[in-house]
Amino acid sequence: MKTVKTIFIVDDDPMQAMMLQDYLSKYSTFTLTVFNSGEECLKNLDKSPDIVFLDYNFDKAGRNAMDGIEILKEIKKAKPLTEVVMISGQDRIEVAVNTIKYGAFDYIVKSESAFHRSENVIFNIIKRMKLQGEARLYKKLTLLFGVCLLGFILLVVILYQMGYIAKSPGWI
Amino acid sequence: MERTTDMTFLKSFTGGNPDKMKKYISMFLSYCPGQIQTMKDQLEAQNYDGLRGTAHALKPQITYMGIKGGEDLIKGIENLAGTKSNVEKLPEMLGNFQTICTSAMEELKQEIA
Repeated sequence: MKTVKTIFIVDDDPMQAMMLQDYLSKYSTFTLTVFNSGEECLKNLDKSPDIVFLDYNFDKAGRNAMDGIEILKEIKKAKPLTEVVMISGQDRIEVAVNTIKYGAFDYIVKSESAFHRSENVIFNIIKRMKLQGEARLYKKLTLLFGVCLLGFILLVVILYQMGYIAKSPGWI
Repeated sequence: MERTTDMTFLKSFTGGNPDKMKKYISMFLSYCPGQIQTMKDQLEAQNYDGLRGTAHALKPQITYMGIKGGEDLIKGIENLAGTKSNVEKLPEMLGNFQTICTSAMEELKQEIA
């Protein structure tokens, strides 16, 4: 079953990125990688991150730096199964709604509670991955059951037509 | 004399580990003066979009270092520069912000000394 292994932290604020990396490093099962620009993150998408914590603003990274929404769109286009969590100093609801509209899993405001919230978001993503895995398993089992039932009915029809089974059960 | 900084969050975040505290405080001390200078340059050049961006980027660090008096000011600078309204208030606000940060940085230097 799929679970969270690789996490990217993408932020041009080195302190914010390091604090989040330090906070999440207590979970030794996660491989955490920090990128200081969205472009660097996009170049490394072949590592198939399960979660990307992505800054919304990249003003300092250079005049032509892609903004968070553009990077979010590129990630979702290249890796639809990667969950993107936007992190921003913006506490305006319209900004949060906009990121969710483009496929972000959640939106976290940079504050003292941001680190604890990031941890909760990871657990929510793991929970959702498990549910999706279970749903896929039940779907496969239902399909298998349907195929078996159809095969059994076909077998009965064939045996009936060949005369190997009586028109009515013997006990009637 | 009343302190400018409140280390409650940073102590809790680092579990009181002095090495980690030192690491984050040192990062802030090396980052903040340059950002203030950038904001002053942007204000002088009337580059309000740039000023908004720099204030926005510095805002979380001010919160993490517990510089309570600086939080409202940096938010105010970000908002005014973003809306480009009441820009005549910006020099005073930035001056006050710099004064608070200078005092905060002195306290932080003592914290890791």
